[in-house]
Amino acid sequence: MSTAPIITDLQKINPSAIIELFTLTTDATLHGSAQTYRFHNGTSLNSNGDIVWAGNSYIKMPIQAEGFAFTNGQLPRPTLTISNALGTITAILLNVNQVTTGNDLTGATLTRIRTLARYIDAVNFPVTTTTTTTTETIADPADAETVTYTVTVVNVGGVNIFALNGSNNPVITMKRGSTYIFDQSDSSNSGHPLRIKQNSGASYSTGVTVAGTQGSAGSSVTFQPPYPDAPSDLRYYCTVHGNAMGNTITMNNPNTTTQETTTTTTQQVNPLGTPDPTAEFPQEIYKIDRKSAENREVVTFELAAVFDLAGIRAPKRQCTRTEFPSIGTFIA
Amino acid sequence: MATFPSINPTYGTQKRSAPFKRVVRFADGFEHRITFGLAENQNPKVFIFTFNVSETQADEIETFLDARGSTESFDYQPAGEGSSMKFVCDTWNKRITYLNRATIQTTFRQVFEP
Repeated sequence: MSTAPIITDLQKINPSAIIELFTLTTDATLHGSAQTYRFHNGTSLNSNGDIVWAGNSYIKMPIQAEGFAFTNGQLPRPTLTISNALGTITAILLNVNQVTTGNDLTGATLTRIRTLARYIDAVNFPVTTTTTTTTETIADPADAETVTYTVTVVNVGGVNIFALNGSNNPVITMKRGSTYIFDQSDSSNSGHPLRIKQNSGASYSTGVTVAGTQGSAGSSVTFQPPYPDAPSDLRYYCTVHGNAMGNTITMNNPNTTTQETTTTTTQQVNPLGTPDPTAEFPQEIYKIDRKSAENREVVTFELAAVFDLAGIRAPKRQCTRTEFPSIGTFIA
Repeated sequence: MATFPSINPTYGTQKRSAPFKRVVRFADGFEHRITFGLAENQNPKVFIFTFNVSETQADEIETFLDARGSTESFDYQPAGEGSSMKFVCDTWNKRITYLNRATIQTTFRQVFEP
């Protein structure tokens, strides 16, 4: 809790609206369990739900507290009036009276919290939807191709090389964004895993999917060079026997098309100011002293300051040393 | 949440606004004003609608309002308003002007609830 932001705001010519909130905390010994009920005499602007303050929801409920004024130096005994038209408070009272007969919430703590509308949580305000459309260039799906190469390993002049569709280690051409399948199910591939690498020597695995073991049925290497990032200096090779088994890949760009992406973001903003869960007036904490009325419409409680409960009386007048010099001194 | 039948009232709708506020002014001095609670919710509108309709439509309105019983709120978008609002109708009068025609006078009070 901090009053500093409140002080600043209250000195303005036109301060923000005051939001009054109440919490009612029951006592574990007297009432069975320590529970906190939160009330606010109004709704939020977000579909008229409950007001949220510092992350807590305050149930919408006709509630009013009066008589916080200090008069003639006496401690105030405010009255709290809550709607009982729907029997909500009767239910709480009956529950409490099961624990302590005739208690009627006596001894429960009532806290009055006041803050300003500009500091309440953003979730109290309507949801605004922003739609942004971004345009990006992508590989035209219509220009994409799927090419399957049947890979065999052939011996040319005592050196094993890959043959693609019967042609000995050809230079192959690829388009970024397309799909190329190297079918290695032929048994001659055994011990010759075909992979993709950069000429610089770094292996390249983006978009490469390997299925099965080369030389056995169903084995394939699928390569989908990504658009637009696939480098131009790629080659296919054997990870065991080196570059000489394969050859280079000529990488081309496909036709491009533009794609519009629409993203919808929702957000809630407090239009009156910046939410600050610590900005509130000093809390006023009172104890329920007695239930003074309960009828079909309302329940009225009389509140008392913590040190003004029944049976305990603060002195009516204080004696100080100015009036009675012997107070607080020892007479030798 | 029930929605009021789409029957248009006649011209001459009244809309009354009276925002709740606290005012402090002594005699003819300077005045302070402040709102308690969120300002939008402290400004409920009161509409007075007159429906000059056929007996059938009058029955439809009456059945609807009877079903709400002036406790349950309903949605209605008055002509010229940007969005639908929630109302409670406390009183309504029906007058049968002549054969098969009726006039219903209603007072819709805006409420703020889910």
